[in-house]
Amino acid sequence: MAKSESQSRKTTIVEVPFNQQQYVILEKLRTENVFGTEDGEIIRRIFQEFVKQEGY
Amino acid sequence: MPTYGALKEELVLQPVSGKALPVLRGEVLRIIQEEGEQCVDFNAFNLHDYKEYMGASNTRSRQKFRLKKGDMVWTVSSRDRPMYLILEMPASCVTDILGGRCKASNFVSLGFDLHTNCQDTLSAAIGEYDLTPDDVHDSFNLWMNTEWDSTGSSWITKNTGRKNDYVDLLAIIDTLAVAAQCGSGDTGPISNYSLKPIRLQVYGASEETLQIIENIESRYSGIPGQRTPADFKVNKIKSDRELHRNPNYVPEFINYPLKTRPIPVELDVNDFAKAEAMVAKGFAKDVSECLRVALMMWYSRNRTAKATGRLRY
Repeated sequence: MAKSESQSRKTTIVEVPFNQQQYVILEKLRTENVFGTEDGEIIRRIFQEFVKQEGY
Repeated sequence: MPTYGALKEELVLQPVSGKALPVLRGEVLRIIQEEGEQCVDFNAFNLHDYKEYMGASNTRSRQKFRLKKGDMVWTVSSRDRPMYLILEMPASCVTDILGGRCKASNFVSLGFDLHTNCQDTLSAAIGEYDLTPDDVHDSFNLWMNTEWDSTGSSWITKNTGRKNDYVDLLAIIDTLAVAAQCGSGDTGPISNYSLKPIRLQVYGASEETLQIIENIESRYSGIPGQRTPADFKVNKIKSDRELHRNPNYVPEFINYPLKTRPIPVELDVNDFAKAEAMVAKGFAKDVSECLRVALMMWYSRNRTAKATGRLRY
């Protein structure tokens, strides 16, 4: 995991590796435009949705 | 229950024997318990291409370990097509698609001499179509009460088949269907220590059975990934038994080599803390993996055909 912190915004950048097969899913979700149009935004918002659904 | 066409063929298999019968698209094979409590081993082939045969493991993964009325029998993974629809099956017909088939050596080791067994019975039956014992494949076992546990152990309990029970298999493609009494039935509970006759009937296609098939084809044909020999890089059937390396062969692995791209994801303090908590619970080995796994799991549960019911596996 590559990670960098922005102290001013109190956020953390996490690099999430996807292979080209997994990346197809992100392309579909981007086209769907329910969770955003940027890969990072989609991953973050689906993580939030997953946490909600699974009760973490 | 749909209306079938006229009865085309009928025969009784005396123990222990088997029969290979063409059952064409839209036709129905009925397998009947003449006396009850008899396990039946079932094999099947595409009538026009014997290399496409019933896939026991593919059917298990597509459907379940114990097929019921309404489930489909699938061909091998290399073709991956629906082969039969189980139109009728009583609750007393417990099925098994795990156990494969019995073979002669089983019985020698149990103290019997040469004993009836499914491998040899099915071999004898398919010989009528010039198929060899090597073409016998794992069976779909009807009226076979196999049980198993979480350790992977399996065992067979009493046969619950009743007299006049029947199973109807609707052929979705042209098939060669092969049914045989399980030859081990007189040595254990698989057929309650005796061997009994079974009756086979083949009914012709009808408008209703063909309509069912059209519905299945519209849903399950042309799925990306289903293959025919025309798609195979090597598609000639070997005519000799010895294996020889082809020095000119270059394999074409799918998406090889895999390429990975890192995608930056900005998390606020709360989301990062949640991900770290999930890592601490063993969900993933680090936050990066946690985000990827969460996305893949969410997608599987919310967007795949299986999740949405567009395609039933």
